[in-house]
Amino acid sequence: MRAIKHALAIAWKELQLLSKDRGGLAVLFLLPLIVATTMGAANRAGARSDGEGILVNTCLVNQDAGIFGEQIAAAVESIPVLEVTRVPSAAEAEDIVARGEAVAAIVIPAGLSDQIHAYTPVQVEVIVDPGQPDAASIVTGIMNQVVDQVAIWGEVSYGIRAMLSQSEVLAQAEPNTLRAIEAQSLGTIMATLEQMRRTPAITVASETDEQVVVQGGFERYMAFGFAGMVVMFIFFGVTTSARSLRMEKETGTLRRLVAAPIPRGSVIAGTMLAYVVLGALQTGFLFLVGRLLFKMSLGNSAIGLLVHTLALSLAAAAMGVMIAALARSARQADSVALILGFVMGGLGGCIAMGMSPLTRSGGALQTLALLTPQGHGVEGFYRLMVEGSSLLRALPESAILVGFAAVFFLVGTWRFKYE
Amino acid sequence: MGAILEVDGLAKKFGDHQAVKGIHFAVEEGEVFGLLGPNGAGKTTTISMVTGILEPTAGTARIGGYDIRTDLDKAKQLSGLVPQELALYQTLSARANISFFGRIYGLSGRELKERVREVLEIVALTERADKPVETFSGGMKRRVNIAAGLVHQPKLLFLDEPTTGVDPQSRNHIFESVLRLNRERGMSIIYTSHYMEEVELLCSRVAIIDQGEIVALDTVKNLIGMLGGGVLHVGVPRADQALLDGLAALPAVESVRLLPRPATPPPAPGRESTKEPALAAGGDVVKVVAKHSQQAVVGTIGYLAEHDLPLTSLEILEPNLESVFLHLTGKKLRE
Amino acid sequence: MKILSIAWKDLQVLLRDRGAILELFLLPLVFVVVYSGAVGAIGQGDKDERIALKVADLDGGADAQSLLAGIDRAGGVRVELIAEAEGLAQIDQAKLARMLVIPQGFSEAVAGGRPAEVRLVSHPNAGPEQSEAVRLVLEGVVSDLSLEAQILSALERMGEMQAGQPGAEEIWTVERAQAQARAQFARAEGEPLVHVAQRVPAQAGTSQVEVGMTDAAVPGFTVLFLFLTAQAAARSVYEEKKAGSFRRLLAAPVSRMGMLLGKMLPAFVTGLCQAAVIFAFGIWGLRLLGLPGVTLGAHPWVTVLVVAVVALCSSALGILIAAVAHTENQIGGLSSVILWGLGTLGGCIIPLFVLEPLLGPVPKVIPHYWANRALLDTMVRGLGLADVGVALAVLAGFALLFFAVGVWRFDFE
Repeated sequence: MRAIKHALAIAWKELQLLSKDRGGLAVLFLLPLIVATTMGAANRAGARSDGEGILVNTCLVNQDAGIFGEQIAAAVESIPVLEVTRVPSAAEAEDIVARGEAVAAIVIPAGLSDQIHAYTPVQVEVIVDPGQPDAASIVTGIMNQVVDQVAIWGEVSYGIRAMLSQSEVLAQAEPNTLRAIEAQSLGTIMATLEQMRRTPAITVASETDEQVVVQGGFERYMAFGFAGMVVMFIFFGVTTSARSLRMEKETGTLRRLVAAPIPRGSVIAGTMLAYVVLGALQTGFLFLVGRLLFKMSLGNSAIGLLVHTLALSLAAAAMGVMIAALARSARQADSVALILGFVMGGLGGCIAMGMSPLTRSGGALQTLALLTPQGHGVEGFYRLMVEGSSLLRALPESAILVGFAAVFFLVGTWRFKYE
Repeated sequence: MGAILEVDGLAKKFGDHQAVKGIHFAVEEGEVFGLLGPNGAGKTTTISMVTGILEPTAGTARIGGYDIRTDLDKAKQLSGLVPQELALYQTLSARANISFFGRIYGLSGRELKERVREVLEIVALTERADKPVETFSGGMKRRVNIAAGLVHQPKLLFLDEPTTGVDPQSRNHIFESVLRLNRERGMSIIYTSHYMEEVELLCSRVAIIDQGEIVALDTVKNLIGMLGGGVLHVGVPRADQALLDGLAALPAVESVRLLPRPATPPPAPGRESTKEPALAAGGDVVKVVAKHSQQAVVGTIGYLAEHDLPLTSLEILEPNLESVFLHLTGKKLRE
Repeated sequence: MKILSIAWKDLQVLLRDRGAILELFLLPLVFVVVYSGAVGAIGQGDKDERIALKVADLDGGADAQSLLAGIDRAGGVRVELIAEAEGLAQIDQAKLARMLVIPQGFSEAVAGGRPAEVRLVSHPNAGPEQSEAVRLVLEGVVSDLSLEAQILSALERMGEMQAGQPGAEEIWTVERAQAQARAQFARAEGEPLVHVAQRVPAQAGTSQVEVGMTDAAVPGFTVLFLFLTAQAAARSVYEEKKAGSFRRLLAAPVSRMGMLLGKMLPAFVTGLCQAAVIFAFGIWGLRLLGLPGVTLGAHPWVTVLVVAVVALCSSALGILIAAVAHTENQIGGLSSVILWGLGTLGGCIIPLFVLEPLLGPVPKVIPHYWANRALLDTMVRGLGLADVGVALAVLAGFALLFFAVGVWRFDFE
């Protein structure tokens, strides 16, 4: 009982110290907020399809005089994500992209329609800005789809002409008749293809084995992004806790505490307690903001969230103890914790780059992610917030985090020198 | 009044180095006891052992009858430590610091508040109690340091080098506080320092410690008394037994001793030294313990003049603890 | 010169501070490797990285075979046959991530021009990315097959239309139509009728066609970390003030401007060294890891010039921070937040084309924005001095502004 009182007194002191550390608070609360909201707003912009989201600046040069060139151009201009400017010459377009003023330039070559009619392969060039690879890949992807449609046209009309030309009867027909038949055929084909586009011949139906409740796409992604930020910045708290413990040694307050009638373990226990509280506050703050600003989903299990948050904060707090024990100065503790925070945060998948946590990505990346506490932190939040799972499904991840905490704690207390 | 602290054969070994070599001493209740010695003598190590920070390699100690080996917590509760370094949380206020340590010693609620207010008054920091410690001057920080050690009203206070790097005004204040604590509250104080003036001023008894051992333990008066009427260091080119006997026979002289020369290498074989050995080695120093300092000086000079012996140097040691230390160990207190 | 002495002393102090060395030199490299998505690309090698796809072929017909052959040819996915019941059982037990089921009657439906469906059954925990990749491959193969089927269907419909015409029967037979469709399709596979070719502008001066992830990441992180050096500069001033040696310098015959310039110089040199380390790593270190290296662009000396101006701007910013911040806390924490925040908003981490619609003209008042543009222009786009002139001028302007404000507000006491 007394040990608990002592731990509480020490935790309270640590929280007081934290409240005075404006810089530290800014890094732990404000910075993740800035990064998360910027990324969130950016994602929201991307997710909107009403044309007010991302705009990719593109040039278009149509050197073709025929209908296919115009068709491609019209298709490209109708896509909301692309902000298309028509440019008279290819050289000018290439120059614009070279200077980075447009993400890509689409060059429809002269004679495109003629070549399609003649069934000779033709190439549409997309000149991309190497400085904006993400945007460029969007344009290329779109172009591939647009071009496919035109290709089908070309193929079908050729097929018809090919077959017509095989008719001896028609071979003797008047050129005008031939062309009339061609035109009529093309018209029919157009209509047919339109219909077919709406009902493809073969479809792939995706289904999952269980009925899992999955929220709307955007709110899902927001939760994933915010969760990653929370995990990353909870582990940045390690820099503060490790430095604080080392400072106790360096200023001599630790010596004073050891001279007092308290069990030595209270010092570490009390410090860890303070940082568990800190982690919980960080999480609460960031998730609250995410909820208010972006209507981010919080999943279906409040208990699950709480348990997982505490497990995560515990792992971070224990890590702080371990680093404090192993480092040789406060400055070293700070730097090591910072670098580890960045490395493990990245490997654990805190920056949401894909659709799912790195712990599910397969291969070496997955293995690396599973070796970091951050990876399990993100996975647990993903299950709770994105997949809407119950406490039970997230519990294994929380348990692994507690396991990490235990290991860090043991190493830390074993190596921590009190005098 | 019994002994508040009994140190019984306490020793500490770090690896191969014996930092404290089995010391014994006792501090009476209500006493201000000094631990005087140069840096590295083992003062802080001793205090660390008694306050439970370091585990002794051998021996034990008892505070208020509680053995540190078996009843450490109870012993700790009775003692307070004011460490050498400023062991405070700089960004917190003086009040927050003191309250924290009070809680650590088991105080809470109204009692805690009251005690904090009290110690702030003792160290005269009531006005600035709520400002962060980092804004304080060095002396004020030391005062907070002391207050933090007092808040739980220990019976025995360890003040470890409390005035290092402190301005004179704060120093005086610290002295006043120490004396007041002792006289008004009967607090026993163990005061360690390498400043002999403070120890002479404040302490009733002093243990002189060097290289992990207590070389003398007595009241200040008696320790200085070891110097007799004073100590002279007489430098001559060469001192032989005749000289020593002659000086010893002087009426004002208590005793005479030849101080060991610093080691010199022997001349290389085959090379004869052209100088006289004494001069080549730098001369001798004779320590004269006088009954009466001035008369001993006159007598010594007279003797040397009589016997046509040159006097190369003459040092008169002040009757203070520094000289006592020098007398006992041949070393200076402050290197 | 006295400024040089001050600068040299500061550099010596910095070299002893291992923590600072780690943060200034190691951290950017960590970023380049871990955060540009490069980690996944390391060590891809020649292993068969194809995703295994278990397929239950309940049909067995010709079109089903075509589908499977198409999947195998597409690359990235490897077909393994399995019985449907077993596959479903394995998915239930979470031993299998996904399975493709080709239902009975598939080939019949395709041949008859009727809609056909294949089912991709996945476990909910299956990596969505892998599932997505598999699905995309399937869609690709399926749309190719659809193309063939559609061409065929169109030809057949033509045939029906022409049925009454003289000589039509001999032309519009099913076999003829199929033969025609297959011939075209085979040809389209080798050489599509309309093909999209992607390339970078000739001005870029490189022969690479693909745009690499690290290409654009290295300049962004370089800018981010160059500006973070401002913190180190500010801290050095603060430490000096605290230690009292600042006072000593003031008492010496050194002008105040001289002192501040002396403080800027080591920050400038540090920034240059930092950039050198990051570039060296980008050019050679990445190659050691099996990734494509970056280059300094078509005009390397312009790149160096840009870096120098950025480093100058950063060191001036350091003076400003030192002048405005009063406690260790402000220099450490608050300036971290500000510098990282500016870095984020200036396009060091999130691409500008994403930020610009959100933030409008805001990034343009951030020095990072101009630094990013300039570095991207020289390193990635291969542009020259004339093209980065504006950005350099703006950066120099910022540097002047920071220095001026810093000198004005600096508390020399």
